[in-house]
This record gives sequence, C-alpha cells and structure tokens, in this order.
Amino acid sequence: MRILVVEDFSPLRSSIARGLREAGFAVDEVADGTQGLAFAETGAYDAIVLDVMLPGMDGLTILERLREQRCPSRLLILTARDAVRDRVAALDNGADDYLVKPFAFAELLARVRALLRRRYEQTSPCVRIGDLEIDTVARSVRRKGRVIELTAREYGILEVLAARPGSVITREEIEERVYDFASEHSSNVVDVYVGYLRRKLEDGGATRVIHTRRGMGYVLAEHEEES
Amino acid sequence: MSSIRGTLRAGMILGTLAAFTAAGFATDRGVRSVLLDDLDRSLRERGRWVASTVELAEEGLELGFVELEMGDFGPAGGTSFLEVWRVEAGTLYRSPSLAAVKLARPRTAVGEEVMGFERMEDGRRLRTYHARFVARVDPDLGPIPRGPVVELSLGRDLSGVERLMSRLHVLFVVIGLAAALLTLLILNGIVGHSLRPLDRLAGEIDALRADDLTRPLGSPGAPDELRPVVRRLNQLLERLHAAFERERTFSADIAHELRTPLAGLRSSLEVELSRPRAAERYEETLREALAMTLRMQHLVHTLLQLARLDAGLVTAEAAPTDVAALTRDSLAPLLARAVARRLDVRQSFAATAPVLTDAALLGTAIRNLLDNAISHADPGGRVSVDVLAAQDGVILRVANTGATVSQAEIPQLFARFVRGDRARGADGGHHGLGLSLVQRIAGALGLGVELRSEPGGEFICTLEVPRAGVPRKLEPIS
Repeated sequence: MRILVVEDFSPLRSSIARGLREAGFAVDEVADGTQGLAFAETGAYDAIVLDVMLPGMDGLTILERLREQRCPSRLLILTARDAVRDRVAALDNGADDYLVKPFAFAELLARVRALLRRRYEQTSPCVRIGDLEIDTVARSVRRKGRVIELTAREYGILEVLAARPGSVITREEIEERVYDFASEHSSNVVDVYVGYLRRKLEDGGATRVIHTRRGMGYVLAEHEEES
Repeated sequence: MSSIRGTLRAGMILGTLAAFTAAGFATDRGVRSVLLDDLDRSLRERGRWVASTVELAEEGLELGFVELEMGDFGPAGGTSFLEVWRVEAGTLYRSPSLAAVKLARPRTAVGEEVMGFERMEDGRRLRTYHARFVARVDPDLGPIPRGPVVELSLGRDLSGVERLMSRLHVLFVVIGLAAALLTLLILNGIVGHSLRPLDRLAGEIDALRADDLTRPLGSPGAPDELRPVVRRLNQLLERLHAAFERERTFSADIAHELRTPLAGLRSSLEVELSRPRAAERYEETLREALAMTLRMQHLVHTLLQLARLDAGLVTAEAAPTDVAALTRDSLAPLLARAVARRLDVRQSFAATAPVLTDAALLGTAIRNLLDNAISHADPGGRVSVDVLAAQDGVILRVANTGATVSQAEIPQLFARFVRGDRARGADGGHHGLGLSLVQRIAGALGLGVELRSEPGGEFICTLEVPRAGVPRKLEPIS
C-alpha cells in the first residue's frame, strides 16, 4: 500500500514517513502544498496524510481539488486547530478523517489502516481466502492455522493482492503500490517476489493461491477457475 | 429608580393624582364662590328692599313689609332671619324664625353694608347682611331735617348650599377617580408601546452569540431616539467581530506554531521507540528532538515577551547605552549560523555617543533584526550591519541580500505570524513574531523603525535610537 505524506515541518514529516515505512507501507513525502497536489493527482496513493497549514497551497484547497477530480485516495487531515468548526470544515471539504496535532503515532497508524480498509471496502482487518488468513493489523499470515514468516516486501505484495481478492492485478499496479519513488528496483522484481511468496505459501504441499494470468498479472484466489 | 418603565409609571400615577386633586379643589372653590355670590346678591337685594320699607310716619317708625311676602321667616323651620333696630332705641322687629336667638350687630357707619357669617346656637351656619341706614320720612310730617338711624341684620341659613356642595363633592370624587383611572390606562398603554422597541433591542442583544456577531441589531421600524444607539451598537459589534476574528486567527496561529513542533517531537520519539535501533540512530533523533525543543523554547519566550509588553508588565528603565557595543554583542552568537549559511557579514561601527534608553529592550529589538537578516539572506549572500552617528541619536542599519518581499507587502510584516519568506514552518526557527516584537519595543522606547525592500535586491531595516528617548510608560493594549 502506498501513502503520500504532505507536511511542511520536516522533523514531523520524516518521522511520520519513517514510521509508516516501518509499518510496511511505501511512502512518498512532500513539504509544499502545490507539489503535494501534483503528487496526489497521479492517483497512485491509497491514502494521503495531509497537513492543513502548508506553504504554496493550503490543505483544504488541495482537498477540494482532489475531490473535484474524484481522486480515489483516502485523505487523513492533520490539523493544529481543534475547534469544532475547523474539524467540520475539514470533513465537509471531503476529508475521510482528521487528527489533531500532537497525536500518538499508533493512532495515526490505526487510522491510516482503517482508511485503507475502507478504500478496498473491507470491513474486517482480517482477510480470509480459503485456508489462508491475513491479519492486516498484526501483519501476520497463516495457512491452515500455521504462521508463515514473510519479509516486509513479500507481505506488501500479498497485501496488495488481498485488497481485491479474485481480481487480476497488473505487475505495474503491484509495483506502484509497493515501491515509493525513493526505492530502486529492477523490472522483474514483482515476479521474483511472487516466486518467493508462492514457495512460502505452498510449503507443506498446500494448494496454489496466487495464480498467474499470462500477459495480465496475478490473482489471489482459492481456486484458479474462480477468477 | 433604575427602570424607565417603573419611573414613567410612578410619575404618571403621581402626576395624574396631583392634577386631578388640584383640579378638584379649584372646581370646589369656584362652585362655592359662584353659589355664595348668588346668595349674597339676593341677600343684599332683599336687605335693601326691607330697608326701603322702613318709614318714619306720624305713629313713629313703620315697617312696610308684610310677613306674608316673606314666608321663609316663619317660626318653624324658617331659613331666613331678620332683626331691625332703631339706634339708641331698641329692637323694632324680630322675625318669628329667630325665636330667642339674637343676630349680631357689627359696628357700622351709616350707609355701610357688611356681609358676614354667623353660627346659630343650634349649630346652623348663616350668611348675614348687616346695614345701618337713615329711615325714610313721610313727606306729610313736614320738614324734618333727618330721619332716625336704623340698623338691620338679615340672615340666611347655609345648610341648603352646604348640602348641594357635599353632593357636588361626591360627584367630583367619583368623576375625578374615573377620569384619573382612564388617563392612567391610556398613558400606561402609551408607555408600554413606546418602550417596546427597547425591549426588542434588549432581546436582540440577549440573543447575540460571540461566534456570530455579523447580524446587525435594530429592526427597520426603530424610533428616531433609538437609532443613534443602534448605530453605535452595530459599530461596536463590527469592531468586536473583527477583534474576535483577529483573536481566533492569532490563537489558531499559536496553536499551529506550538502544536506542530510538539507533534514532530512526539511522533519522532514514538517512532524511534517502536523498535530497537542502532546508537547512531538514537543520537540523530535526540539531536532532532533537541532542535525542536529549542525552537519551541524560542517561540514561547517570544510569545511571553510580547504578552508582557501587551499587558504593560514591562517597565523600561533608561540608562546610558552604547548602541555599537550592544549590536556587536548581539551579533556575536549569530555569526556561527552566518558562517554555516556562507554569508558575507560586513560590520561598520562609527564612534557614537551613548544614548539614554533601556538596554535590555533595545538589545532584544537589535537581536531580532540581526537574526532576521541572517535567516532571510540568500545562501552565500551578504549581510551588512552599520552603526552611524546621527544628529540627535544613533542609527542602526541592518541589510541583507535576497529580499523576497515587495515594498507594498512591508506593512503586513509587522502582523504576528506573518513571515516574509512565505514558508510557514520553515526550519529556521522563525515564527513571524520578530518584527511584531521590534515594533512593540520601538513604540515603548520611542525608536524609529523603517523597512525597505526590493525583491531580488536588499532588505533594509533602519532603527533610529534617539539620544534621550525618554522611555514612554507602556500602556496595555486595549
């Protein structure tokens, strides 16, 4: 899952970005409102953490623009103003949620995860495909009740597939959701990681759950014909 | 009484009662005098007629009137009384109504008539007519030079008049009270109606809320007397609304400036503690945390200084001060940052005489100007600091290259939380309070401040310190 952080105070911005990266998200950071809008308009982000008072363009204007463009990203507003009318203004302008500064990082993380579930219309933080269970809060994966240890990158790819089980997801989309601009990667990196994932998930003679659609991408499903 | 309505009502009641009582008394007096005049006239006429019938004839004095013509002189219940005397001789006639009573005989000259009151033994009051005259002489008696002198007293029972008066009194009181009541009701209605716009205005004022002062007071039908009040109130409300807005913006700005570094501090510490890390990583985070703490400390310090100045809690004390030395001391701790930003700092200090001012406050102003110049100069640019002697004081001139503000935007720079570089939260530790503080101090010490800016050129700040600028008493900002 890929997240954009728009905040002008650099220590706050970098700590949020670092915390989110450590929680397994691909994160891009921007300090300025105009640049923030330009990044957000690409639509590559599942969620955007947006400060209100920004140089260049303020957060509420960015919100309005993105909502006009029907941007699919979920928006979490960070604000130093805690008056009811400021919070109402943020929500009325199209924010999905807001957080008043200063906040607990754990709360920011929980709210971002909740927004991501809503983004993919999941009601529960736990995704179940056949005998495969993915807990998006604990970031743990079980198959037939047995815990499967995954690296952050492997988990990130599985999470993208699990967000829309049964649908074909292209390599480009997986790449876009798992890698931020800062990370360097080779062109076949998704195929390589899917290979690692399959090996771990099918360990002990379990059935295949990540199916290849030639020329299209990958599907996460219990049975191949399901898709 | 503090209530207009109460005062008006009490005044109305007292006024109406006083007016009606006075009118009642006057009417009573008037009616009584008209009745008495009438009575007197008839009494006088009757007396003169009686006198005209007294004649000296051969048989002596004769009374020509016939008792039949005077039925009210009768013995039982007679209401008129008559007694006639011949002077120096005795009673000539007493009317039967007098019985044993004697009418008074006031001393009178011949030809004189006197009106009076008399009370009879049975308590009845009489109006009396008394006259002394010379009786007519029968021409048959021959030439007698002068007739005898006769006195007569004529009395009239007043109980009829008094009965009439007391009936009139009852009538006056009843009519008076009814009229007073009606008047009061009408006046009360008028007072209530006239005061209704005041009540409405009070209701509107009552319904005002601090977060919505934009609705003007006063309905269109307000009376002329209220209009100036309503106009003034609306002007006051507008000013209040503007002040509230300023206050709101200011507190939102403070909230942003304080909460953002706090959020940064908390967030980076929490993220840092979420898992074990290498020692270098911890050191880096601690340095960041320290920088944020210093930033907040600086902000809190500046805010407190401003608040103290605003509240009039700072007293300026004049002492001989060397502006050049003060500038040099203020610049020294900032030079490290200037070096880090690769700035060319040029200083020139002319020989100047000490000025009489508050060194601590002036130092704060100078530090803020120097700090601004070093923070806002373009990287690798130039900062010039000059202290010059002027005719009546010392001039400090601080200039930096890389100005971004146009001359037209200069006045805004003095507003709190406005930054010339437009970069809120830029990491130079600037909050946009410095120039506001300088301006406040300048006001207190009688300094002249002038800013000049040319985008792309130099930003120049000139501070004029008068030789003996007696520090003004700091007035709290109202």
